[in-house]
Amino acid sequence: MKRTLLLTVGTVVLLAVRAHAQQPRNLLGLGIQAYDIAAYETALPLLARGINPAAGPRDSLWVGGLHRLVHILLEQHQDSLAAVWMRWALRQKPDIVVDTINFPPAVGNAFTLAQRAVAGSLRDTVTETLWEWPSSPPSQQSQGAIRIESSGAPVSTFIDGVGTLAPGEQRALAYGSYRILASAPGYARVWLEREVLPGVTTVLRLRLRGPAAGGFLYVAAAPWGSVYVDRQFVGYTPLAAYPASVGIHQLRIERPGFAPFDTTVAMERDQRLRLGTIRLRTGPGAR
Amino acid sequence: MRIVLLLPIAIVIGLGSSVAGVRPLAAQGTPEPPLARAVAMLDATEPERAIELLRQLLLGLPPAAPSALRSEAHLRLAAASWSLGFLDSAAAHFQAAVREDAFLRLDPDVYNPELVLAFRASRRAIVAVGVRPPPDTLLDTRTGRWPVAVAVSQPGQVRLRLVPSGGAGGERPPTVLVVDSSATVSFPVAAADGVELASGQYRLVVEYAGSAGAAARSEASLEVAQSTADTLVYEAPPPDSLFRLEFRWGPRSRGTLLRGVGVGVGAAAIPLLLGQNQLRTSGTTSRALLVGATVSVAGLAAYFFGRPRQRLPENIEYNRALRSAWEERNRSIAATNAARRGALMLRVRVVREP
Repeated sequence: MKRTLLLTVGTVVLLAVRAHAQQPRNLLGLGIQAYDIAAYETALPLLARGINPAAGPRDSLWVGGLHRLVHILLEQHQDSLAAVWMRWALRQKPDIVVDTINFPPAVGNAFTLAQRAVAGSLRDTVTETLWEWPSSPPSQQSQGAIRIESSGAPVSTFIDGVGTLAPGEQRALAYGSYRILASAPGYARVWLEREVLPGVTTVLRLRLRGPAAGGFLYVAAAPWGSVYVDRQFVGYTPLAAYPASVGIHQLRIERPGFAPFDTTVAMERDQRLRLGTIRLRTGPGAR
Repeated sequence: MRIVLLLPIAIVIGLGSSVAGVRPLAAQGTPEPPLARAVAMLDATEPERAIELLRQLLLGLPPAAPSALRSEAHLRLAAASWSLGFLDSAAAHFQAAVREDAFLRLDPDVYNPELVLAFRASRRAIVAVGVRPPPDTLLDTRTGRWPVAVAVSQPGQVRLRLVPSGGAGGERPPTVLVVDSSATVSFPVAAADGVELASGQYRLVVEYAGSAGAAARSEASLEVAQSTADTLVYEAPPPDSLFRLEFRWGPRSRGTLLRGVGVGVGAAAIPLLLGQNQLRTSGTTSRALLVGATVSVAGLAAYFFGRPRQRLPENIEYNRALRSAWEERNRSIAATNAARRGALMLRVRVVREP
């Protein structure tokens, strides 16, 4: 018994010493080893550093490391942080298969919840997201940060609950999932959701859909409503300078409690098509 | 339902820049207020022109312009900037609107969810405090409490002080409270030691201290003067329409008819049957018949017009209660007026809005 204990302590110390000189990818392996001997305190920072996607492929080792990281956080009653890590991982690799054999049901349940949370936002083509991992292992309670980078269009961004963020400006934030609105005059605005991890800087490189060969659509309604162009939600009224391609488009304005407004618009090149103010009516068809 | 375009909706097709057409405010000289015209432009989905007009409006406003107008202009400017994708500019104008009016809130029914989110975030990002005292109040010098509304953009501690300006007496102890968003403070007019507020000019100073050392301040100038209270007008009696009928007509009585006709018949028959035939003339017979007929007609009239009156106790009680309540209210007014004639009041009037 005493011998086993000494062996375990020795292994943990050895892992911790070796970790200083390791590459992130190797840290993942060391973290898994530490987890396997239940040295959770040692394993957690190793896994959190080793899971850096820039360090290697998102293979079975990466997925295994994620499972262990999540399990440790759940064991430490840091469920919200575990959920953030899972949502972050699922946005990288939506096809993660949960290991329900080697991990307790709590891990599987948490994965299911995270999958529901990120469903529908997996295919995002307007941004490239990168993460700047810290050189030293961060505390799981430390703040992360977010930074927006853009080229070409003068993009401005708004983070729900935080405020606006200028391109290049780095904003320290508590870990969590954040809804981000990216917008530029004459470009289709887009809402994104991204995670901020403890000690990690999330970098968003925006590539907004530029003004295609077409015109711009302006819509005002009273009361305000949700605008759909060709059945795709594009924003709320007042909608201004929304880039639309040349041709016929189906336009719909919806608002709960009011009858939807449908029309067809024909957009020409360089045209500014203004519809306003459309009065939404209550009555038959109102939802 | 699909409606082909080019029908009832107002569509304006503009090619190229639509901003270029806006002339400077000074050159426009229209009686229509610029803010109303900017709103009309926004309704006509011309936010670029509205932004230009609103910027000119704000630049041209004199320093003494009402803060409500500035706030409204900034708010419209923010909404227009947001719709065009100038999020930073929109946030700056939202903040300017809150600085002008810390009580400003966006109605989610009127402003879309993005604007509401942006406004809330912008509001939290700055430190602003506002105070709204009632414009003209009459308070009892001993028991009166003066209600003052306070709004802050971030939760924090608010300190309200009534500072005499121009030697109106000593400064009152401050009222300190923690405000999350907005609150109403009731200032007692009399100090804790019973000393009444002296007449004169005062400043209501509101100081905000946030958690991260943030501070803001707002103030209003007041005029306090002793006054007598106006007496209350007596209440007019309840209108007749409120009173209920106290009796109703009962059904016609057949007995009355029979009695009337019987007495009439009797009046005619008795002299004819029992009178001495020797003394009877044609005149006496006709007079007896006339008397009998008259009495019968009287009985008939009594039958038709002489319906009995039935009292309605519930309605009588209701009317009595109505009269009593009115009398009670007037007695209360009389007592209040008597008290007011004997009491000194303080009139607190806002001289300059913050």
